Order: sequence, then structure tokens, then C-alpha cells
Amino acid sequence: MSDAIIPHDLSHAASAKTLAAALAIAAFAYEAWFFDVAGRQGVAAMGGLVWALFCSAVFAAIALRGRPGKARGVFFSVSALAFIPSFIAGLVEARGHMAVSGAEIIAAQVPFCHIAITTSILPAALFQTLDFPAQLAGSRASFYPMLLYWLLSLVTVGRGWCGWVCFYGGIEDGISSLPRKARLDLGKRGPALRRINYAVLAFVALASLGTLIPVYCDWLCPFKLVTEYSDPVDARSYLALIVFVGLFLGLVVVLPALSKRRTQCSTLCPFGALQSLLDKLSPYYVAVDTSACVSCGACDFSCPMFALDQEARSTGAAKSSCVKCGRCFNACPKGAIGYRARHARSGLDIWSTLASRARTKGEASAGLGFAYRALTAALETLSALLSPALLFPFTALSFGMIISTGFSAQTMTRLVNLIVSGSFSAGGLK
Amino acid sequence: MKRTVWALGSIFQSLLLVAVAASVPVVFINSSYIAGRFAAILCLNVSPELSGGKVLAQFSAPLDDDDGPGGYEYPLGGAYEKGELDITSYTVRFPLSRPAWHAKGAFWQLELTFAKATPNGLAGGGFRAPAVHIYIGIYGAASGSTESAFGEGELVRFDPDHPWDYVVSVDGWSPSGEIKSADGSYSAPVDTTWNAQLRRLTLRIGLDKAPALLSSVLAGKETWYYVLVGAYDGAREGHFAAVRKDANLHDGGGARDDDSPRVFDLLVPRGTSKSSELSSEDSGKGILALVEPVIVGGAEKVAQPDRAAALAEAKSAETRDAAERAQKIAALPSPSKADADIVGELFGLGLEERARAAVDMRLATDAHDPLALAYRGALVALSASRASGLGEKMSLVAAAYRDLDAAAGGAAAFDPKERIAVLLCRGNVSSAVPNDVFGRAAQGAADFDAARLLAKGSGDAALENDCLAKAALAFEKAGRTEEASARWATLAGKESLDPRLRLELIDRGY
Repeated sequence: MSDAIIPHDLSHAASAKTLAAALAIAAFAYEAWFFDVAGRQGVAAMGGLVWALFCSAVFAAIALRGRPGKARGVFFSVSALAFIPSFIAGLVEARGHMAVSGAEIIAAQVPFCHIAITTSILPAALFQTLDFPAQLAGSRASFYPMLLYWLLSLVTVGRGWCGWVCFYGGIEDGISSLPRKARLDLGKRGPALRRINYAVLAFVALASLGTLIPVYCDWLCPFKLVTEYSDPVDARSYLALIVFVGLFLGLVVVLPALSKRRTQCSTLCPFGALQSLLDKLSPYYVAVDTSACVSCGACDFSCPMFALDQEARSTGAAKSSCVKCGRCFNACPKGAIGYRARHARSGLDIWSTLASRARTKGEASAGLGFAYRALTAALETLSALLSPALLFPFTALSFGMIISTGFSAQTMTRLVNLIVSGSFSAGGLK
Repeated sequence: MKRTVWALGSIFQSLLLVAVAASVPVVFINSSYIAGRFAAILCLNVSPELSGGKVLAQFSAPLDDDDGPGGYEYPLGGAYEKGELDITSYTVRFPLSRPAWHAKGAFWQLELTFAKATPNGLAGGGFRAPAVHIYIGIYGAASGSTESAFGEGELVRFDPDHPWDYVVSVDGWSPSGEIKSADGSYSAPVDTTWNAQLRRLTLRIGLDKAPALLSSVLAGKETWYYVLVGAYDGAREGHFAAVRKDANLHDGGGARDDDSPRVFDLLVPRGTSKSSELSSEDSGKGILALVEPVIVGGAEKVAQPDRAAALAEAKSAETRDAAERAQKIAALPSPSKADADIVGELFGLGLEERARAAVDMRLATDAHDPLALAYRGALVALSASRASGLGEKMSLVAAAYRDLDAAAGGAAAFDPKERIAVLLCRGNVSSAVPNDVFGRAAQGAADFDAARLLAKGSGDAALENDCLAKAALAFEKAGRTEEASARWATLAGKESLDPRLRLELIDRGY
């Protein structure tokens, strides 16, 4: 794993990189327009346009810099913040309150989220039964669509879901990046915390299979505090309330703020553990150029997921808990960390190899110099366009942007309505 | 050789990464279709522990039949709105012995869906106008009754072959319902849940402390049900409002005499009709109307329709229509300014270019003409179906909806015929475009429903039936199968039907 990653990037002419970035930005902007604006009318189209412009600006910042930088974190946190008011306002408008009532359970109308996949996948596979009172189809927050998004995530972003897509993770990601310095060092506990995460997954999956009850959602999910919860009516439900409020405050707010680590995502979330287990299905991973690495450990401290340590650096790949957020890219003083396509034999690709050959030939050939220069530029642009450094953020941000379209564009619509008419309604959203 | 393999591998990898990037939007665009395939392959069900038990039987009831034996009017008080007494489906679930997640003890769940729901802001039950009595008979019971549990109550008598053993009474003004036995030895509250969005009333009958006979439903005994809906009147026995010749604030109207049933809607077995059952009273002899139950677990004798004959009839109707269309096209005058007056006919005959010219003529006179806007929207949507690029399709459909929505908004004060045309234009587009992208199928169904009511008002039975079928199809597309079933059931109760609709019904088991 001593292959050069950075030289691969550096080998491209800056203009080719800029051109490739411009092409990718144009493609992304079209995608954002298609999903957020087209087909909407009036205020909804305005809300969608705001969201599309924001996402496109984020992608432009990433593409032009060649690394996620802070832009990803801004997108991720804004997406999470947009989700909460949209979801809560939707619940209050539909049922008059945030709490799940018997009516929603009986009618199987409780929104289904990706984390519930971990509680539902075994009962669904073995008993053809969904152990969650959700619609099977009909909206994005129902089982079959969520199953589809999960399967799609496995073969595209893998655990990158937790760094680019998850509308809960953005809360913790934002909180963990707020303090300048960690006041609590959890770095040494990384391996143990990773094991806890897998243990939670095993417990949740098996307990849900045994009881046909979504154990994690019922007892542990801390995000009930910002989405929907069961009204406490008896000792059991009061206990559940204490547990999930405690977990939210402890693992989502206090510990991330103290340690700069995503403690809930890396220890409690069973979906994250499942994504880690299956991350090898994704074609991307975060690689460390072992020849350039000076083992300073800066990346270890910057990683919110305990995915980088001495062992990871020596093998040249971040551990499977890596959410591909790219915080470590900025931390590395040698620029030795980057996205890499899995199973790539080296950092070099056919297009950059052909480009350097064309350049050599162009320099040697007097008559065909212009043609070779044009070919070199085209191949360098293609190389930059097809590089994981550009394609992974494109894929991951597309995923995040599209999945958040419903609620983020709706929140933007609500904000537009608030400014225009003083009402926080989603009126006009189609 | 090694370099060739590396080069091919590198090209393959580039293509793979591009495919991965492209797969995200492509999968999302087609997510409804793919999720539908998942549904077909995986055939999952929500755990009955959560939803109230496996469905044992489900009955669909026709829409707009909340008029008793025919011609009943709701009481005139402001608390009653047309459709609130109209049952559209009734579901019986298997009893649950060990329910999970927020439920207490064994229970048996029954569900009723109504055509219209108006929230009751004043009382705990959640709904307002209906009072519901469900008489339950259980096979093997030594005794039972064929008379009302509420004195005058509903003013009906029950089938002597199917006496009832328990009756559940529910209304929206009490915090819970009540179940009591025919002999009066047992009574208990019934948990009720009202879901205004689904217009569904859910009843949970506790079985832990119930008598052995009621608990025996856990063993899967054959059961039968008389489901009766009356207008709520808290001052009457059983809370069923009286129905008189003329309606007043508290009593319904349209009855032949004071012995007429106080039932506005009733669930009837297939092969019988609600109006014939409720009009079977003989007031001269003092005989009340006889009602029959729907049976669960018994053999229902329904004649099987002849599908081959229905298919042949449908094909011949299709041929006849095609010939008529050709005749109409041949008989059309040459294009002229008069086309502006027959834009609907031109559109209906599929003469798109001529219809487009006619639309332009109308819009040149009045840029806000709702009819012209509706047809322009429909024509633009048609052109979207032929467009090649996804972006172009999206833009065209969005443009079509700008016209269609403007037309629907502007057509409120229109005459019914033209309003129907506007609603049909938007409804047809809404049920044709992909629901996962535009999410308009339910709105299309609502448009067809509105057009149906207008057609009914103008006495056009064929159009009314056509709208019913289109509304049912649109609801199916929107995933709202219960509402679709209610419309198919309504259609099944119609006497003269287009052969193509008859075939649709046969294919759906009606």
C-alpha cells in the first residue's frame, strides 16, 4: 500500500482539474435542479431552488478544492437541522402532536427510518413480517423505499452514509466540530467503542427477531427527542423516556462537544455498525499513502469515528468505521490521505498514464504539438473527472441532497412562507 | 500482457465509478417502481401484533349509499354532513392473544371506514355524526336474539337463521364504546380509536375478562355481523336518530312512515342490496325490515360471472367505439374558427393539432379561459409523454400543471359540463404521470370524484361510472387500496355498466 495518491492528483494540470470540476459542478447543479425545482410550483419551487443552490454551492466548494473540507460539514449539519423542523411541523400538522399515538400504530403510519432497518431486516427475511408499525410503501419514510435506499447506499457510499446522508448524524457531526480543542481524549478507547457498536447491532437485531418488536426504536433511539416519541403513560414508558433523553444528551450533545468525536454514531447506532460490516461493497474507501505518512497522528485526533490509528495508518486504509467525511484530509500535514477506489492497483489510472504519454510525444513532435497538447488536456480532464477525489463527493453529496430533498426543500419552503406570509406552513409544496 | 490487464482494469473501474455515481439519481427516479417490485417479491406484512391482528375478512361497501332504503336525508342540524354515515369498508381481524407494543391483554379488533370524516372538537370519540351498532353472532351459541338490543333502536329485525350474541355500540361523543351480550349478563367498554386522516374507526374488544363464548373467537369460530349506521342522537335509545317523512334538526327525513328503519347505511352480503333489505318493512302488518348479516368463515354463495363473455362484450364495445369515433371524425366540418367551440370534441377524438389550434383561438380571445387552459395543459402533458429527455419531460409536465391548476382554480364558477371537462383533464394527467415523481395520483382521484358528483347531478350515468372507475384506478396508483375498493364496490352495485367496466370488475373479483 505504498502507492502514491497525492502525486496522482498533483500530476494533473491545474486547468484540467478546474475544467473537470466545472463539468462536475454543472452536472450536479442539473441534478439539484431536477430533484429540487422541476415539477414544483410557486413557493415550493422557491424553497426547492434555495436548497438546490445551497447544495450546488457546497459541491462547487468541494470540487474546486479537491477535498470535502468544511463544506461537507456545513451541508451535513444544515441538512440535519432542516430535517428536524420539517419533520416535527409535518407531524403536528398531520396529527396535532409529536407523540406517536395508538391510532398511528394501529394504522401502521409511523414513519420508518433507515436505523430501523437493523431491527426489521431479520424478521422481514425470516418471517415475512415487518416488526415496525410503518407503511410498507407509499412514501419515502416507509419500508420498501428505505430498504431500497439502504441497498443503494451499500453499493455506492457504504458507511459514507453516516458522513454525508444520515439526517441524524448531521446533528452530532456539527456538535463535534464546534469546539476548537477536545477536552476529553477518547482516542485510546477507540477499539473498545467499535466493539460496543457491533455488540449493540447484534443485540438489537437478535432481540428484535426474538420479540418482533423494534427494540432499538422502542428503547434506545436518542433521536426520538427531536422526532417523535411515545407519550409516557406508565413506569415502562417513563423508563424509556429517561433512557432516550439521557442517551441524546450524553452521546449526541455532551460527549461530542467534549471529545470532538461522534460518540453516538460510533458506539450506539446499529445502522452505522451494519454499514461498517458491509462497507466493502462500496467501491470507495479512505486511503493513507504510507510512503508519505510521517505518523504524526494528527489524523487520529481529527477522526470523529475512531477510524484512524497506528494500525490503520500502517495498513494504508482507514478502519471500516470510517464515514468518509474527509476531516482527516485537512488534518494531515503531508496531504497523504484521500479517497481511493477499492481494488485499484495503484494511484495512477489509465487516463493520466495516457496523458503523460501524449505530453511526452507532444514535446518530441514538432508538427503535431497542438494536437498532442489538446489530447493531453482532454485526457487530464478525463482523469480528474473520473478520479475518486471528485466522483466520491459527487456520489455522496447527490445521495445526501436527493434523500434530504423532501424535508430540506420543505423547510426552505416553510422559511420562504414565514418571510412572505408570516406562516411556517408548507403551503404551496407539491 | 500485465499492462493490458491493468489498462482494461483501469477502464473498467472508471466505468464502474461513473455507473455508481449515475445509479443514485436513476434509482431515486425509479424508486416507486423498484419499491413496487420489492413489494411483489417480498410480500411482507406489518406484524399483526402492532396493527391489531391479521386480517380475517374485509368487506367493501359502496359509496354514496348512506340514504337508507333510498331517499333518506340527514338530520338538518349542523353536526351532520353528507358522507359521514357512509361506510366504505369493514374489517374483521383475527383476535390477538398476546399483543405487543403499548397494548394491554388479549383483544379482538374490528375496523370501519367512512366516506367522510369531520373531527369532533367537542367530545372524546373523535368523530361526530355516526352512531354504529355491530351485532355479532358466533357459531355454536346456544341462544341469541333477533331483536334490537336498544328497544326501538334501529327499527329492524335480524335474520332468524343468524341470531346475534353480542352487540357493540359506538359513537363519537363517548370516550369509549360498549359491548354487551344478548342476555344482558355481560357488558364491558370497548376501546375506540379514530383516525381522521384515514377516516377509520378502530374498535378493540378486550377478551381477557370476556365470557367464554366471546373468547371462543380466539379459536377461530365462524362469526357473522350486522353492521348498522345511524345518525347520532343522544336522546334516543341506542343513540340512533329517528327518521321521519321530513327531516328536522335532530331527525332524518325521507322515511315512508315512523316504522321505517333508522339505518342510513348497512353492510350487506354480496348478491343482496341495502335498499332492498331496508325497504322490506311492512308497516301495515307491523313487520320491521329484515336485515341479513355478512358472514366470516362460512361459505358465501356468489354466482361466478362469465369472464369470457364479458371480454367478448368489452371487445365489441371497443370496436363499436372506434367505428363511432371514425364516423365522428369524418362528419367533422373543415377546420375553421368554429373549432374554438368544439375544442373538447376535437381533443376527445384525438385530433391533437386541430385541438391545439382551437385552444389557441380561445386563448386569443380570453387568456384565462379555464377550458382552453385545461385542454392546453392536457395537450402539453401528452407531448411530455413523447419527449425523449427526462428533463424535458419534467419541464413539460410542470408546464402542463401550471395550466391545469390554473384551469381548476378558475373553473369553480363554471357550468358543470365544462367544469367536468377541466377536472377530467387534470385527473387524467395526474393518473398518467409517475406518482413517485409528481405524487399527483391522489389528487387525480379527487378530481375524478368531484367530476363524478357533477356527472351524477347532471344525470349522466355513463360518465359517473367512468369517473368512479378512474378514481378507483388513481387511488390504486396512489397506494390507497381501501378507497379504491370502495369505488369498485360502488361500481359493482350499478345496474347498467359499460362492458369494459364490467370486465374490470370481474378481474377484481366482483
